[in-house]
Amino acid sequence: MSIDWTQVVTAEQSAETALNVIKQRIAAARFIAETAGITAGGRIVDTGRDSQGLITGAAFAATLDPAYVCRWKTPTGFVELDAPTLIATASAVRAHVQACFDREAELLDALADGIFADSMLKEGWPGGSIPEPAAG
Amino acid sequence: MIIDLSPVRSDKPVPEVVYSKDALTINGQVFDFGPLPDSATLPAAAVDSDWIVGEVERIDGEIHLTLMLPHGPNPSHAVAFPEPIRVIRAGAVKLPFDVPEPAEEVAHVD
Repeated sequence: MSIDWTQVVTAEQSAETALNVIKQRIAAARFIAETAGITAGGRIVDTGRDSQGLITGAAFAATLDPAYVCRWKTPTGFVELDAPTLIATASAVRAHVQACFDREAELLDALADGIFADSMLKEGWPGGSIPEPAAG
Repeated sequence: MIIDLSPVRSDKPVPEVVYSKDALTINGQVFDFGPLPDSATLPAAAVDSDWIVGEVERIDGEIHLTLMLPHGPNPSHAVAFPEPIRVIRAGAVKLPFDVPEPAEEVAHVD
């Protein structure tokens, strides 16, 4: 057989492949933003997937015991965090992570609406400092 | 049909190419791209030919493909940098080629 017609790539398949590539790039950009870390209460907080789990566990312990205090490892060394600080830090991390997924959803909506542009991959991701936990 | 040419240094002779609608016959082997839908692509691996290189596409109803163009050691500009060929009428496709230079006469000395 001189032509193997089973290998034909239709316009629809090409478009779907191109769309999936863009979706993967959006997800990759979200992951980079998500795990880039934040500053909460003046401390740099790792927002990698492992760290997200650790801070969630610590916040859970702090919720069960308002007097809970633990030594938390930061890039600059160990610091002592009390329950309100742990909860505030975990909340800040959660808000950051959710904001990243929200931005990913916005970009996917833009893609579906045909208004996505490559430049949007570098815009709109959450960042910056998170305020100090409220006293009390 | 739009035929792009990819010049390659080779001792192979320029192939005989005949066009008919969406089909090309290359050195007697028929490649009928009629079933290729518009905006669809055939990857290079799907076409069993040493002459057809790269993807075959149908764009706005017209087949686009690339043929290897063999040439000698010193190709002319027309062969080294060939223009794409648009074929409409059925028949032989004229590919650019250089007429081989006659072999130098060797003096026979007894």
